Amino acid sequence: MVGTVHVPAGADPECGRVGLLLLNGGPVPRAGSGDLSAYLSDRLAERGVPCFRFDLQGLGESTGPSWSDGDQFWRKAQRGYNDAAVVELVEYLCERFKLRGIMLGGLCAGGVLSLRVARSLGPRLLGFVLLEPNIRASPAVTRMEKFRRLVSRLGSLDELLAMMTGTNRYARLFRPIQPQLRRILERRTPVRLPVDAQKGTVSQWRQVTCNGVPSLIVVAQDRDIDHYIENVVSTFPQAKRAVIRTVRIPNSNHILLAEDSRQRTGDALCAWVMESFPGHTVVDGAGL
Amino acid sequence: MYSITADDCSFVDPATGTREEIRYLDVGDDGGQIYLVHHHARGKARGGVVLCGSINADREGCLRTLVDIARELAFNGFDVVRFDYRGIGESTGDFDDYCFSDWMQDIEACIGVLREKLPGLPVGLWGIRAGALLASEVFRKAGDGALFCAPMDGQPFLQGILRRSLVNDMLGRPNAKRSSREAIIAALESGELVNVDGYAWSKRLWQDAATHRFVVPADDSRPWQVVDFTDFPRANLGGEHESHRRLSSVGRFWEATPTRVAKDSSLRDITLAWLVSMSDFCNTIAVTLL
Repeated sequence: MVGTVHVPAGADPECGRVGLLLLNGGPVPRAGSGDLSAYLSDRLAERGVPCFRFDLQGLGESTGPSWSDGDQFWRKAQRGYNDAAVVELVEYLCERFKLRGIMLGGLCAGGVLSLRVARSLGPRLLGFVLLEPNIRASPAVTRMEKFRRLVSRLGSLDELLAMMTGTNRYARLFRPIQPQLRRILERRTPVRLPVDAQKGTVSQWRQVTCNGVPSLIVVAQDRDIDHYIENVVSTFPQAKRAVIRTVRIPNSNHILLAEDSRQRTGDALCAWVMESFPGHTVVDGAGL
Repeated sequence: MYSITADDCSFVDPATGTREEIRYLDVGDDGGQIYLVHHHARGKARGGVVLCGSINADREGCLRTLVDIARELAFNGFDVVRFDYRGIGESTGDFDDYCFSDWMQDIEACIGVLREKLPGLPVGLWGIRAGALLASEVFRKAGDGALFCAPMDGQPFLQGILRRSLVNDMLGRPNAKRSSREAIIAALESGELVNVDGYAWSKRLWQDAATHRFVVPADDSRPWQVVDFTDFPRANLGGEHESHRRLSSVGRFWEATPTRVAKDSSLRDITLAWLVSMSDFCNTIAVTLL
């Protein structure tokens, strides 16, 4: 794997710092679309936080066969193709740069790949930086999930109630008693994940969130991912959501480059890191 | 502000067994550095080539194809240098501080790296899109051969990028207020910085682009070739040239999301054939001179 390291000048290498590792946003090279990842790393390095950007196997400048099909990359990534490499990379960076731990993230797929390895990283994981995280499963995985849900309905009262109060063709038959059924369902079950969410990934995220690992989510306001991720986070226990901060960038797009999105994303990242890790950053570049 | 470390910067690609060396190279007098990757030839080098990529969103669309080509050429006995222009990708500096004229210096610096490493051996220029435009201008005074992929003139190239950016913006933000291409160009000419796909375009870039045109090597005995692509306007060569080759099997891979890599090896094959012909041509000249 080939990567770029942004090391803050004058920083004490032995001080047990925290670092940020940004992964590829899909098949885009490690500098990011419009060099967004490079820009964010520059901004944070100016605040005293070492930043790392790496190309995963077969992407950018790393070795390995090129992905001739971006969808294939995404499908394999969701099945854990990159997981071991990311875990090994985090361990290497912590040892090599004497870091206490790492904040992990990236744009879109980069954020989702970070969530996938949450449990494997243990205490090395200090936080997530999720930029427009598209946590939907690919269509093939979604079909499997729909089938699994269909089968589970046969043996689960909750699933049966969900079907009877949903928007499918069978639910019409129960329309007269749907309000009562909904009340029963709400009392019995927590908020449900969207059917096409990557359940395993969300489960890992939920677990580390409950353990107090903070997340920064940056989304384009009122766009698709904004609403979707809100639904996902709403399934987390209410009391534990305090460690998740969502920043909505107005008039932005999925790659967070429209208008002044890049600047706003950089501002949000620096502010969040300075608040979350106050002992490890330098305010306004002083002392650099 | 911060430093970029350059250690651990050499590795061997397991697929080809070739060594890749990463370094930063000072260019110009503004303290700018280009990020440069030197792919060392397997065995004794037969020559070298500088791969000139494109700019803006084209850069990310072309990168992996350039990496694949570089590894293939190194495996076949050619030293290859590829790089990011100042202000782009892994290189230092802000995009709005640079323009086409500055980026020509970056190419010249890379030729210097190969000339130093390969004294007496031919060094060619390979460019794609904006890289082809810049390579054609540098080729007037340097290089032993050249291959230009989908070359365009400076301002039409920027206009094309702008058009694609506006289309993407319409799809990505259907309800947002947006400017027309004409309004954006007017803003550029009035001195405003304009955000195009995350890169800040300046008046200097826009005006400088007008002075850069794809240059057909006139009456040039050095081996050169133009490669066009499917559905891409043919380069205006002022008539048919033997060296003009149309690559019909490959589409505009630099625009193709989410693939971003040439789907077959035809571009690599053409490049290798051209490099071998350049190497043979230069050897013939050398023998004749002896």
